[in-house]
Amino acid sequence: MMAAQLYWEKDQGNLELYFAAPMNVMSVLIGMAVGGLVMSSTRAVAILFIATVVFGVSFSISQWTLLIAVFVLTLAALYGFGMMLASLFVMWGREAFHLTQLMTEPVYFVSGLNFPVGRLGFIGALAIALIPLAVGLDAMRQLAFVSTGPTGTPEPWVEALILVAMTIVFIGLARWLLHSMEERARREGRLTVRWR
Amino acid sequence: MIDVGLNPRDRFDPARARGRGTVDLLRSFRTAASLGWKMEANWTDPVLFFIYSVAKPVASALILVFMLQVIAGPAGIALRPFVIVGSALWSFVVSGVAGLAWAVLDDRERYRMLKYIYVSPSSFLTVLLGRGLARLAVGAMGAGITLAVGVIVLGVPFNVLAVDWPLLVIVLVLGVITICSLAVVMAAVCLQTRQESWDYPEVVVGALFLVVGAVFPLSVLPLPLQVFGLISPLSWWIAGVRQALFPGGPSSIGGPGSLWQQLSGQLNPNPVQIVLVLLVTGAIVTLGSAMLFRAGEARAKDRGLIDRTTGS
Repeated sequence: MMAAQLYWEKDQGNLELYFAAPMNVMSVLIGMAVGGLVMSSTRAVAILFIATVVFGVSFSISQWTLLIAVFVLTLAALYGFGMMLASLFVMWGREAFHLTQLMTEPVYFVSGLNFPVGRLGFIGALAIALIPLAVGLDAMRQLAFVSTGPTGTPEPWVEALILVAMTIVFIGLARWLLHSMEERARREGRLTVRWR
Repeated sequence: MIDVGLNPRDRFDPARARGRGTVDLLRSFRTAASLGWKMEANWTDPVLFFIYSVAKPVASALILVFMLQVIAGPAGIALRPFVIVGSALWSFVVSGVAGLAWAVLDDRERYRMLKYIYVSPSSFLTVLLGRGLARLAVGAMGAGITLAVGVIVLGVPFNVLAVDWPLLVIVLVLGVITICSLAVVMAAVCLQTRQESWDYPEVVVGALFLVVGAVFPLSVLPLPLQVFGLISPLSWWIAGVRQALFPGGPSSIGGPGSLWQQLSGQLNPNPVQIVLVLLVTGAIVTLGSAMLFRAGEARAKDRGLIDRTTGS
């Protein structure tokens, strides 16, 4: 969603306004991320409430601080990743939008969205090294269900460190990509191209 | 009348103003379908478009298969055909229902062409159905590939000679009509709504996913939810396709303790019952959708919603 946001803005003719305004585009994206973060957190709280009350899911949490830190780091890394992808929309339109759509479900699969990522073996390990969703989910599962036993994946604190590294790398790359894509889009006159 | 000696081909043809009935409808449908296909597919080369079309349903099916494996262990292998068929068909439903609604939203909010289409001589509903056909075709392709992946990669036992072809053809035709009808309802809703209507089809389809037995049998649901499942034509469509492809396999409608068993005294519905209930529920949904669309169209026209852009 973070990535596709610039696509919608471009199609509505707002993108040129963002670039013409006296501010950094990253600040716009961070503002959007904060809005998205509030929405995502609300949804997560609702799901946790229903899971607990309706389905009787019981959590066993011993490290609250680490759990909260992992949650925030996961969102930060995910939004950094989203900002990186958002830079593609400065240059391209439908192609980039469809490619992000193409990646969504396979990323859910290799991230172990609905099952432990450790079950995927090498692919799961690769996902933990590269995809914030995979590593964040696995760490939160380990922290929320302490008694589940060995998962075949790194300890939560190790995964938290991976998330810190991902956040720094993705936000740094997003900054560089946004700048270089903007330069390229200006040269090729693509900033104002709509509906394609 | 004075004959000025014009060539008959140059004279005014009254049929151009009053329309040519079915011929015009077919031409509008064909043109809209062609336009819809180009809008869906011309952003890339055919190979990438093919990958794009099948990646989502295949990944969804793999997620469900792995969930099943984690939860049920080796016993889950027997349920793979059930899950694969439901998952494949569901991607078809999502594509089909979203197609028409997104055609309305695309044309109104993004390309701002809806008002021009509406005032053109073509039938509005025919144009929308044509536009939705492309997405339905993409969904069908994804469903077919998901089934193929299930058989070839995941080892789902499939015997082409055991398939009940007449049942398959009948339920597929009735199912497509039902999905188009649901899509027409969503299009009528999206004509009325304002911002952020893009997710409405997915939300509605997501809610239906719970009650139609796509990946688990209705018997696991509380009785009131089973009632919703039994009156939904999609439940019977999915059950019919399962029954046709894997005769004698587990049914999503019946089963021990299910509402179906309590009502009918039978463990599972037979093919004739599936077709009859699908026909009746599908007919009700189809007629209802036509009425809803007409009412929605009239309301949208009355309130000036057709040329409104809400910036979503």
